[in-house]
Amino acid sequence: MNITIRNLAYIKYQPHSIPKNFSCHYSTEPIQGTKSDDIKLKNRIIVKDLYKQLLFLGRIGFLGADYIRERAKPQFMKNANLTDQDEINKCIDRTKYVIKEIEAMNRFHKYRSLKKSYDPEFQDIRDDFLNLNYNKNSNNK
Amino acid sequence: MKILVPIKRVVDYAVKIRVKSDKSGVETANVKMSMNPFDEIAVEEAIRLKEKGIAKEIAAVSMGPKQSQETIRTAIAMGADTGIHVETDKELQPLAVAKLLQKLVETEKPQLIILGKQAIDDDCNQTAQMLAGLLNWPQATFASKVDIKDDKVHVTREIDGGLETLSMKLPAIVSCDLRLNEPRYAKLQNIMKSKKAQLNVLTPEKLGVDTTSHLSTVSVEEPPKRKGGVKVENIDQVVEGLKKNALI
Repeated sequence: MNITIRNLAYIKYQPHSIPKNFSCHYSTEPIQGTKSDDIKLKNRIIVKDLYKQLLFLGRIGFLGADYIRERAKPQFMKNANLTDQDEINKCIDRTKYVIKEIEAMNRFHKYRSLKKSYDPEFQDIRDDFLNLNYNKNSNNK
Repeated sequence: MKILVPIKRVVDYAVKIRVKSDKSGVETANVKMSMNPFDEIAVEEAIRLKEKGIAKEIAAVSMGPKQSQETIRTAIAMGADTGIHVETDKELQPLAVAKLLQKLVETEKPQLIILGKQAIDDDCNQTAQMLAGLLNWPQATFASKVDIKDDKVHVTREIDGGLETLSMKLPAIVSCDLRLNEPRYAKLQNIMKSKKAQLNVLTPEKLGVDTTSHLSTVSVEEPPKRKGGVKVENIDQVVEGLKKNALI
């Protein structure tokens, strides 16, 4: 089939194996006239996995799981009843983008704090940027 | 080639540290702990060597209480193969750690030991050097680049004067600095898998190492408060300051 954005999103996200006796508290029965329950199940698993990744990044990073949960959960609940596969794929793409951004922020924050603590040159400059006894007419440059 | 990566479970880098009221140490109860950032860089380097095909097996070692097993599992999730945990509840000094590692080297027989240059909780910067002395192996500390060709390691070190490149025969010890690489984040699936991984649990008594500390902490105090930055009046002062510090 043609690879377009709409089905690329679905193809790329191969969920890890769905166990045979898969049971959960939400209903997995197909609504009459819409997608098969197989696709719906896969969507659910993908979205849950993304949410867990977001929380995990919050937990190990400097933001904290609470900060991320406050912002992510309302968004996820708002889009809980989407039926159009295109819309769902768009949301999944957006979430993946946000996950990458949070990961980048965590890395940057870690590198910067380690550099601040372990680079003596950096610390001297930071605290004494203007050589506190700054004098316009001083002889030494 | 087998690589041994010693790692340490320390207070997380982003946590605001508080000194205990009796000045005997730092508050570590109920505080977020994670792997030493320099050790993460070491694990990442070991994994990159494995991906290049130079290394066959990576063993991650940690010494400490039962919770250290979580850090070992994080290393396994990042890509290490096996984990070894030396269980002890005492505070270990770098010399004790080096002696334990020396004993482990006899059984594990690695060709390369990569570790972080220092731990962010005690900032000792001693374990790599002491271990090299005990084993009589060549060492390269503050590595910012590691290359392995044939049977030799070429390491670029970051020293005060600039960069220094050393080459030494394996087996060798390398300690990592900040700019060696960017450590990866373990995927959730790998973390789930690593929870089931079996770790080899040992004790200092089983290894036959005496870990009594010959140092005692007299007092731990907070550093003097930072003076605070200076407020600038105009843009000329900023340019002046940047020029003075050779930043532009």
